[in-house]
Amino acid sequence: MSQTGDATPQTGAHRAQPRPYGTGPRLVAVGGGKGGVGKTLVAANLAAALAQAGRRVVVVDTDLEGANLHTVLGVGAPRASLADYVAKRETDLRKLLVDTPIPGLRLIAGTHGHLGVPQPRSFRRVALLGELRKLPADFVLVDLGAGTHPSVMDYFLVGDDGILVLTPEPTSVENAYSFLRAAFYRRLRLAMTSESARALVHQAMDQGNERGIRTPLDLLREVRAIAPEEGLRLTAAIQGFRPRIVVNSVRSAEDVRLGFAVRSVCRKYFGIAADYVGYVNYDDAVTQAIRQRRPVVVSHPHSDAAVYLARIARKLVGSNGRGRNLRAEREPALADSAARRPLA
Amino acid sequence: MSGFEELDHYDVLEVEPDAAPDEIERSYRVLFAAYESDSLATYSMFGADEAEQLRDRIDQAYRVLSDPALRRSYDAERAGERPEEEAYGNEPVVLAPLSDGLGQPLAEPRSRVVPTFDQMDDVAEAESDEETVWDGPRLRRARLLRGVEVEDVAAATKIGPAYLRSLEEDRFDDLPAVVYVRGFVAAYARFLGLDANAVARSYSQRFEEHRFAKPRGRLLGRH
Repeated sequence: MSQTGDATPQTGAHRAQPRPYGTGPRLVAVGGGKGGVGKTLVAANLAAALAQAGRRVVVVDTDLEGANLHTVLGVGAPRASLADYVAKRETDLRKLLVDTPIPGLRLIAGTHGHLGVPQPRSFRRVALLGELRKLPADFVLVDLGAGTHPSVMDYFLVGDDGILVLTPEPTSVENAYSFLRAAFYRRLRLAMTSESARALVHQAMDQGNERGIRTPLDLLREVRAIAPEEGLRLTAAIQGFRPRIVVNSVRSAEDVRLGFAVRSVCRKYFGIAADYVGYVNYDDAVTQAIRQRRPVVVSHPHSDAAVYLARIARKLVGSNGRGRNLRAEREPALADSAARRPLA
Repeated sequence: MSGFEELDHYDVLEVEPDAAPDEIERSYRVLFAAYESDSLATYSMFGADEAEQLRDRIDQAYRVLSDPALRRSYDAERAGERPEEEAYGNEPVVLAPLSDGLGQPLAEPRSRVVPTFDQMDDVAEAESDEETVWDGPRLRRARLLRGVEVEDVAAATKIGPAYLRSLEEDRFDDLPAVVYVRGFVAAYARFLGLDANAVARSYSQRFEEHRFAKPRGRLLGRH
């Protein structure tokens, strides 16, 4: 980023806009459902690119089963990790921060050699998310594990930005949609205040439900019927859900277009306004960088992959202000209109 | 009954009601590919029937919105007003016919406008910098940014795909004389909507440096 000469000012310019959770760091979760699609690659390189642009960045490895973010960043096996916080051996997240070779970038590693570390339970998760927001940083990037476990979903949902990484393969695209569906319905369920509305959302998650709720719009109708004010909350929850799509391992223009197609499906199926924030091409430099245990934006800053990753980082910074990709704010009726899908 | 048919044409094409014609064209191209029957992005989310309904709706929306007269009538109808033309005659507003629903392919996009994806417009701005050094990889990035395959460029410029690939990979030894290369690059750049002169100048400068550096190197080696 810095080498392109357009690095944004080093002061926390992104704080100019009020954020829903106060003035703490901006929390960016990187997920995608499937393992091996490049979540760690994207998280590590966005973090490095943001740090190169002068931001204070912390990157957190929440993949407690397959933690390897530290390796990608060139940090040796850390003595303390998030597992210590989850197991309550450590109560202060700040004590888990480890320096990386990249100035301005620090790491909270996932685990260090303990097998079978469980995901944090609900209460511990809430505490952890609160602590992440208190870290001394401009950006906190959270590298998520694979799958759709509630703990993974919660990081994705409470983040200011949820980045969905996928590759141009049927398995990855299918898992990305499963991930989105799980995140979407979890978000809606958490937005409901009454037990009955929550039960409806829960039913809608089962595609074969008896009430015939097939789509978000069906659900909205049902919820409105039992409680109009819950319907408003549901609409707000749909509109506020803005995943950001990144397509990794792109080899052709067709692969590039996949991101637009997925964005369209988000709109036509879920009624949500996703952003396609960029793609990363398939590049040998990435493999070489991993072998060197350095992020590709550091080791091969002029490679295609590094150029594309730095571009995504720039978009991330830009979109928090008067970003032109915050389209949905001009489209308040979007969720309502796009959710008008047919009864299957 | 299909819920898609209730959707506004602009919603269907995922554009703003004030979208420029090229924006409509661009969005249609993206959706055209997204909802093809074997599309990677949609097969797991929409059943075959649903996908076909969507294709029909997208097609219908495009037919109306890409035709200035039909779009004006549609906009007027949408705004709850009667179009001016109707004040003269009693012709009702005729919307474009739906396809027969038997898997009829969508209409081909009307023009070969090369889309610059709005999502990536920050890079498009950077491209227009006069100082930019145009090498093969940058050309290729500019192409990918527009969602165009090498074959599309070859078809439009009549330059062989092998040459285009050599250009993109800076394989200077596989390219013909400077004068041809300059022409190739200019045609390629023009097709991508770039400043053809600037790109050709920058590219051929590097190319010439390579071409003329080599014999000199050989001579020096002999001495």
